[in-house]
Amino acid sequence: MVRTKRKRMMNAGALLLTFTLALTACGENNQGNQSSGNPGEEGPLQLTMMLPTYSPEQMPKDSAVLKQLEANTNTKLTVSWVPSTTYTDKLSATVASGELPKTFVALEPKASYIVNGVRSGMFWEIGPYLQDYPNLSKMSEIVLNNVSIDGKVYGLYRQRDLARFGLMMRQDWLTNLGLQPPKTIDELYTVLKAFTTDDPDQNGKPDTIGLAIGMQGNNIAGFKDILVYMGGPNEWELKDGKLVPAHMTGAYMETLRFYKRLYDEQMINQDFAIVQDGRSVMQKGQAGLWIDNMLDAKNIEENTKKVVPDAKIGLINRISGPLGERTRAGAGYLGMYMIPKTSVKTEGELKQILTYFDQVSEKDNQNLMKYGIEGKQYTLDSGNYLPTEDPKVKAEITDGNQFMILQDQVVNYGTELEKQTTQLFQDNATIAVPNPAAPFISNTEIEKGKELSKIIADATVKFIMGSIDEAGWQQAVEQWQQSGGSKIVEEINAEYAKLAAQ
Amino acid sequence: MPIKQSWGSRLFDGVNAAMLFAFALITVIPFIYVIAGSFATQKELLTRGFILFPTEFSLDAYKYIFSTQTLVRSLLVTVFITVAGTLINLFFTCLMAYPLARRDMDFRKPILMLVVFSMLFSGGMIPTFLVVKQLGMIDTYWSLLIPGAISAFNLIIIRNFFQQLPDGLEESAKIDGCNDLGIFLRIVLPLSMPAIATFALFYAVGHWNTFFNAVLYINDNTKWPIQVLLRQIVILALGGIGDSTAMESEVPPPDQAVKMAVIVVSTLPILLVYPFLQKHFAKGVLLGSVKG
Amino acid sequence: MLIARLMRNRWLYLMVLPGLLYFLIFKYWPMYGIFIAFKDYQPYLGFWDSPFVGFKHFDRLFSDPNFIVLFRNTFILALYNILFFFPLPILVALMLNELRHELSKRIVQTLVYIPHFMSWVVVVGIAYMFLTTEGGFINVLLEKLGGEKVTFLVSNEWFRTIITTEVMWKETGWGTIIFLAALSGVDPQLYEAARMDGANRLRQLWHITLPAIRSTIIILLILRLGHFLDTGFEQIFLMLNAMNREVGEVFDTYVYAVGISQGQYSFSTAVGLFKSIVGLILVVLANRLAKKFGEEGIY
Repeated sequence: MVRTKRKRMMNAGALLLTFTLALTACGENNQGNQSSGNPGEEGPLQLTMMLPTYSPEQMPKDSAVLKQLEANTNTKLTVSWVPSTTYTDKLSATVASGELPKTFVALEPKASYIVNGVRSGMFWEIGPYLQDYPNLSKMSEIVLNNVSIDGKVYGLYRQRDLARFGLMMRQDWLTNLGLQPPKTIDELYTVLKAFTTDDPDQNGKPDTIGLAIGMQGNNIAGFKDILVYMGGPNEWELKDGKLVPAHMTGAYMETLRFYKRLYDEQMINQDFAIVQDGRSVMQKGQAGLWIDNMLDAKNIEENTKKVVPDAKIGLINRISGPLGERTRAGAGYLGMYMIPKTSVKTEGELKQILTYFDQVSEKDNQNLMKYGIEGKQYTLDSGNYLPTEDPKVKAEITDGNQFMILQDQVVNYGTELEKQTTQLFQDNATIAVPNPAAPFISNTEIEKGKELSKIIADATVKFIMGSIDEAGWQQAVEQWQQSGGSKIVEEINAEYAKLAAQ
Repeated sequence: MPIKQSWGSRLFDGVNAAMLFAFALITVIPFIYVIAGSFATQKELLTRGFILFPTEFSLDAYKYIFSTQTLVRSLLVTVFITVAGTLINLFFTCLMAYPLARRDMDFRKPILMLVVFSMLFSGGMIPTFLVVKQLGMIDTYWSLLIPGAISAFNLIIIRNFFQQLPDGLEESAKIDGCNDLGIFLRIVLPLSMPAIATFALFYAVGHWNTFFNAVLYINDNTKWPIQVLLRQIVILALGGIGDSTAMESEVPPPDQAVKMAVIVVSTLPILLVYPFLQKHFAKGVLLGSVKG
Repeated sequence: MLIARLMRNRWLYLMVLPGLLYFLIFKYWPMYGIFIAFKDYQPYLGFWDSPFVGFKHFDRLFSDPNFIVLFRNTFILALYNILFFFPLPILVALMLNELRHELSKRIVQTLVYIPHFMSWVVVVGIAYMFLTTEGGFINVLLEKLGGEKVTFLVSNEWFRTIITTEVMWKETGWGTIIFLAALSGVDPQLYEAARMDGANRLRQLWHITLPAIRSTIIILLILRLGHFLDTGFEQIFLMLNAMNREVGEVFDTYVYAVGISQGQYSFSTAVGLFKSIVGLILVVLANRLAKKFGEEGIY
């Protein structure tokens, strides 16, 4: 009895061990096969890629949308999805293992490990090839400049509108109070004041505030936009041939004072320093204004309506300040496709892959990856766009926009509000203030930038909440300079001088 | 027994019970909030804040998450990993802990030091990834089962438990003609059921929460466990943890209720494990079985 | 002689072997990764070809003007954890052990361990709801009682208290499990004998129950000391804001910004190595101390 039992256990153990060993052996063989993709061969282009996913579900492998894209571009796509929250770690591990896919998205093209990789020659420089492709040649010079590393382009940026920020204001509140949408900073103040004191929701209770703010990382949502309205720079200011960081300009101080006034007069949510998503204040129906990416307008309106059925969001993109109407330009892209030399060995294969990206940027494919297949993911009822309700079919287009490069020919099927958003994005582009330092790389900033920016971000919050005064603010700026800030300024200016000399 | 002591004893019991129940209440209220929230409407969650009972009852959140393709599949994956992983863990951990608990074992101290040192120093994520890759485990469930087969922490504590078993047992077994493996299987293991139940729980919960390794080692998203889904929903609902610049709020966050429903669905199964293991924690199991 | 001895214990060696292999393969093989603390690790170059930079990253850590602040913050939080949180599961386990009604005992046990399963995102979210000055439960109560609002979440004074309380709330129930397992090994006859001798409940607790779990307590304490400077990242990260960073920034959150999110693995490895060395020193000292007092220790 004892014997048999013991034997059984032993066998189990031995079995497990053999299993592991067998598995080990098999695995190695498989890998050998995998990497022997033959680019020169006829047939569809084999393309492996790594993309971030922002959804609880991922696009199924047999997705009809993906199949359609493969058919349209004559490729065989193998996508490995990585949750956005662990993307950097997975990328680093994949890089270290030397098994990078043929292309992947770098979410932050200026992160140190990307820049280091570029400098050690790991990626194809694709700038010179772009002109050979009908769609890719239309890429914006400004954005290409933004993504460049040491003046060269190493990837295909994924296009976003250049200037997407604006004011999302409770239209119904304006109507209730008989007010006009603000056009200047002063009018903005007046409206926010009225939202706070004049009972815009007409419930007889003083339970409203003007501006909803929250923290985005360490920064205050909307602060950078008000700063630009106030005549301040977008991150860096070009002054007498020198680049100066935003927080060392006079306009920054003005903006600080403006916010402090809003805070002192209880026109912003007093607990903003701990609010991680300021939109929630808006969606409770307690605030009249939210400043951020106007893409959010639809979502905010829908959610606010769940609490206040009559809520209506109006968009405002032009606020005039000391320097006239201006708005903050974003990066103009969200992540960049890069092609490593370790997995794509020949120029021929590189060109094939660029052809794929060029085809992805054709009008039909842009819309395919945005909306899916007509008759499946959506139907058009006399021009009215109706998305499918079937979750299985819907899943086939999940994260489809991660494939997109250019988005200039996407049809807008959206609501009035969404159409207006798109229109204002275009309008914004005409008054957008770019960040003059965007193309430049400072080694100190790469190394310590996040740590240093916390000093400024924290001091900004503290000043608004009144725990430090102007002298305290100056101290923080000095601390920033001493901890490496001056070095950043130096390095950025050196890069700028280099470019100016050319 | 004197009456006086019994009075004091009873008072002690009363106070003790009252305090424990108060503590239990404090700990359980937030979970009730999560359950209530999963049945509430977005409106109520936004306006009322902390709720223990929704005034408007809604099943939308559950309908939504059960409509996803991933939920059931990833729950099954997690159950598989948890069961298989825990069995592997217990097998290897106990097998190694027993010899280390034996005072007559040579090289006991250096081996233990090796174990302790590995708790304090680790090669880090990438080298471990490379080892897992070199063993060909990438994209297989083995990568979630084998690299964590023994927790040094659990090993040390379980060894301590084995050490507290009476020495006499082994001697008598030896006289009966058992070898060391026989002693371990026939005497030590059965006597250590409470400890083993405890570590089964520890390991099971660890596997249940598998998230990071799954995403790191497994490229095929149909093999991802439930925590990936949970994290995605919870973090999206928060508007992206930490650095949200990369997200630029392009994806509208799911309703709060959905977040809570996912928490309920993904924690309830593992919560239910404990009451079943509890019977093994009953007092006196150890000695009771020795006598019988 | 030696061979005879080895042969006698051959089964024991055989049993230890799989585990030993496991540790060598999965723990010691990757340990070369520690050397990147002395290199400027670049993923594309790999571990061996990345440039060697000596103590550059340690220099950066120790010469950072924040280092003293970081060390102090981490140290105090860790100390709070050991002083206030560590004894709590023991206390609750002892109380549970005294609870005679079996069903009540099981109900309490099951309820108190639930919070362990809630992620920090949820726990911190709930803490915010209770403590915020904008209609948070505690502040509403304070105002009703005629007091003033307290800015719990945006102040340096409350940060450590709240962090420790949250940990106590979340992990106490979970922590009791191991002590309950240890207590299950106590022979009920010992209690009977003690009662015969006229020992009251407190004396029984002191002379029977506590000694039964003493070695478990000591081992857990030593193991905890090994991770002394690990304060847990997620909770603190979520509780941090501009107004409490002076006391709240710890090594783990500091490294996150520069290391993980920027992919600077060398620097974060260096910080990790520093923490490990502190842990090693504490473990060795604590283990020696435990042995002096006649305990088994962990090795």
